[in-house]
Amino acid sequence: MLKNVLVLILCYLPIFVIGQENEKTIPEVRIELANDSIPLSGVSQQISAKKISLYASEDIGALTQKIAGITLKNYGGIGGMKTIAYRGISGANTAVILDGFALQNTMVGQLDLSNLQVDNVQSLTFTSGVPSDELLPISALMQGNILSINTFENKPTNDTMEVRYSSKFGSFGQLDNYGSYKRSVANSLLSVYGKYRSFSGNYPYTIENGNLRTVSMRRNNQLKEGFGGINYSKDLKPYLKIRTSIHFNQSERGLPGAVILYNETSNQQLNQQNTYGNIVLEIKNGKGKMNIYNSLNYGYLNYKDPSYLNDSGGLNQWYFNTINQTGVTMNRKIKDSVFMLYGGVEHTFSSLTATNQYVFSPKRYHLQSVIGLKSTLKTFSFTAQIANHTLQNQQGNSVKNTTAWNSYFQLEKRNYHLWLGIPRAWLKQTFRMPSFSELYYNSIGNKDLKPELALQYSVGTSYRFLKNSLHISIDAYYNKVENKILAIPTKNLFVWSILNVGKVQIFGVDLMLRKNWRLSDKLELDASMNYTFQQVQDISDQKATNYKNQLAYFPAHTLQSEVSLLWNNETGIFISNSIISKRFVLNENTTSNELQGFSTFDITCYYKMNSYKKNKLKVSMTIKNVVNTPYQYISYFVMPGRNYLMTLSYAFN
Amino acid sequence: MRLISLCLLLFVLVACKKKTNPINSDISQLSHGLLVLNEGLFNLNNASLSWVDLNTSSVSDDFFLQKTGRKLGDTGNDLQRYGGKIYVLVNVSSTIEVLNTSTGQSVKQILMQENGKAKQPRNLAFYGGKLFVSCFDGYVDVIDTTTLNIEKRIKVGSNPENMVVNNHRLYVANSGGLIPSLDSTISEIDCQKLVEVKKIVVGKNPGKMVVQDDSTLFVHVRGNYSSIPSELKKINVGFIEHQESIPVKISGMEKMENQLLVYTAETVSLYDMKMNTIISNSFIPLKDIKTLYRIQYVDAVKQLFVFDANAYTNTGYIHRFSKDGQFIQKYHVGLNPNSLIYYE
Repeated sequence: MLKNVLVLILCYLPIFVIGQENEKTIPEVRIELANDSIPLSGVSQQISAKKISLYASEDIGALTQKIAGITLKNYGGIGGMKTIAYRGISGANTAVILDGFALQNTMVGQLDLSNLQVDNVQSLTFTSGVPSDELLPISALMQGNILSINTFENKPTNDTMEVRYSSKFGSFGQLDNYGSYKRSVANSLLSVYGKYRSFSGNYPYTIENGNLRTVSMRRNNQLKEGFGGINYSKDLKPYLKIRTSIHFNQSERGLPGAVILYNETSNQQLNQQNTYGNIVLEIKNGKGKMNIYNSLNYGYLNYKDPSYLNDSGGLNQWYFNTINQTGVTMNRKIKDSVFMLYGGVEHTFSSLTATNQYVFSPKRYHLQSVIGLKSTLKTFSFTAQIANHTLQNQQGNSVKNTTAWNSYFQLEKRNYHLWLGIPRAWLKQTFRMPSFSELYYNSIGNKDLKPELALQYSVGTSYRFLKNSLHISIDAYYNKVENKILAIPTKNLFVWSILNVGKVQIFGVDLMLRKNWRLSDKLELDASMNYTFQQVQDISDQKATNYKNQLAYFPAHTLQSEVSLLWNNETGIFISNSIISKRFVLNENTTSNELQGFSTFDITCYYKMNSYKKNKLKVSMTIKNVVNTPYQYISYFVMPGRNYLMTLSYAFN
Repeated sequence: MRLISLCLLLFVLVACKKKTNPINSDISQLSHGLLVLNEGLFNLNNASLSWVDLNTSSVSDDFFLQKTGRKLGDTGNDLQRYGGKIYVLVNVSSTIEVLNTSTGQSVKQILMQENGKAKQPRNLAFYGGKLFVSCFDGYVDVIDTTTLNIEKRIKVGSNPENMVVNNHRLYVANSGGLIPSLDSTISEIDCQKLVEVKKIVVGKNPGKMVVQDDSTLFVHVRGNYSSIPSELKKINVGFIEHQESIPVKISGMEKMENQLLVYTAETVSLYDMKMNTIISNSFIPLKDIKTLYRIQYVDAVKQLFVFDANAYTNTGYIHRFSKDGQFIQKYHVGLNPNSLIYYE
């Protein structure tokens, strides 16, 4: 506790000392703000490649917690499953886009973000509402939120050749190698990349058991994972471009599970493979653009539990998930007006087969369509969108059709007002379809489930102060979720059913600050902070003892802050801090259900060498969880203590 | 910025507040109260014991923590008193906690593991100074109640659960809950020779059993929770085996002298075991009980205790009734209460 306070004071001392001095002695502050973690259009937040390397996050999942409004569920370290919720709404309402193509998992409804690597990410953009790029796949435009990943391999280049290579060595047997080669010749771009990482994962942890403080070792946490891919694009005509890509990843990992008091046995294993193949034709003329695309995703999941007490020596289950999306999306300016129409249609087929006798090979056909209108007036811009999702579920002879509509409206002021800043407001109605597991798994699945509906209202504004060196953004929101899909024990603790029973209301505020100081020609200081307050309340049953209690695992307060000091654009130190307030492990807010809040610090020091010709070398050292705080995102899924990561990066371009 | 930094400091102070759990010696001698086992929920390590003081109706939900300074563990499945000791079976933690009956102090924690695997104990039964523990790995462990050492493992069927002792025999319901085809048998064990004598086929997924007389058992056969329905069977386990299906809806049952309380989430029926007739189909009013989890009859006071799991994810209640179904009082206890010991 005292250590935490001391480190906090040390970390933020520069703000007290240098910040004040800066304002007195430097008469002119040069404005040099990147877009990192500050809203772009009022509905987007972006993290750049530079920041990503400083965070030294192990995967996209860990990185997303830097975004205001996101609640991360992290089941523990490298390879531990990571899912997100945004403003109290499930991650199943967030589309994940990789280089313009949608990634999906219809088996469980949302992606495990620990399966997405960060080494090749040029930018990570989170958009709540209609994105600035209205040519994204239709299924993404329909979602409430979009997490868009843009990679180095897909980024156009003026150089004929670019190379990236990085090696990481870290605590608990972490080894990570990534390499990428990109070549640009005659209107075409070819890139190839590969990555392999391994992690022994046996890290020590401390856990409190009543008055006992037990130190033990996390076991069965190993990971071996490989990634690879090829991107190719070519300008076939001045108005026609083709872009294709194949991505592949395979992993074998132990599942350590929750720490069970007095029983440390853990033997479960998960092997996964995913392959994504994408193609898009991009057509444009002076009036608009059109994309015709197809994405095919095939993946399997193999779950093994040799300690499962059946009569065949344990569980060994295989699940195969196939998804194919075909669609067209376009935009077009309306002649002699400030309006632009956009929209499109997409057909998706998905199927699940399994060796598990309780899964009866369901299939699903989706037809999704969107039409929208954007207008950019002199002082305001607005977007209005309406969308339809028609879905047919098949399982054997059983056929079930579902249709749902959603709509969106956004209004934003374009010019800056001294008092109002750049105000914005939006409202939208979204939904998520039940997953295959919720519909069909064993006897608990419910074929009659309706879509889970979410109504979202948001207002906010952005300000610039101190000659544009201080940016402040604030948003307040109210969301309401109806027909929430929940697993409910209906007869006893072993007999569950999945029902549309829940109602949730969410109030919240997101506050983002960023301040930049140019202290001298060579020295630059940057500080930023994201704060989220959220009240996520169960309002399903007024008579229930948990009525209007905070939902499990949603903290009321989340604070992400960071300070970066850069010398001569070569050497730097970066300190980041995450504070999560107490949470409840169940929806009833009793003392016994409390999960303690925590505060962690990470420090990264780096040195960049601009070596011979176009060769660049960077070395960085990260200490994560500097104060060695014992903490958990999910109850009894213990996180690692202090650990180290050294990164060597090479770039040629 | 100073203000922000001060806010950050405040946050850390708030976030890092530590709690302590002082060992409470207030309840030094247990009397006139209820010791309640709260099952908790899987993977949350939140099984607990509540102490209900019947003089004041006050409830302490951290009884085990206060007595031992540590938590009970994950998923408490059974609580019984035998001799001068209390036995608490904790399924996922795979332990049996042995406490002193009078003081509640810990006597021993028995770890139920073999070759690095958890045995997953499920239920307790006693006979002749021996504690029998059904383990989900297909065995019944025999523990001497004096030395508290495991003396023998008896192989039975798949995933054994409930046990009853009758006429020097231990009957073990082999549920097969973790195998797709389910088990259909109960094992009969000779309590003196400690060997399985035979298996009796009773129907898919046998669970709770009740002894009527030397040769008759009532068995709740739970089916597969979908196409094969749950049913109540009356079984003669004597020289000539005989089975009879009782036409009553059932999700659980409890013996009350010569009668059987047969219940579902909606109704509690009273069944006369000798007369083979249903006396009442609404013996206990359930309008104030959200999730009927179990009923326990305490012969010492001739009263019924109804366990309300309150939707399984909220802390539960115990509703106390007279033998003839009249409501007396209710107590707010821990998460998923499932059994109790009555202290006079």
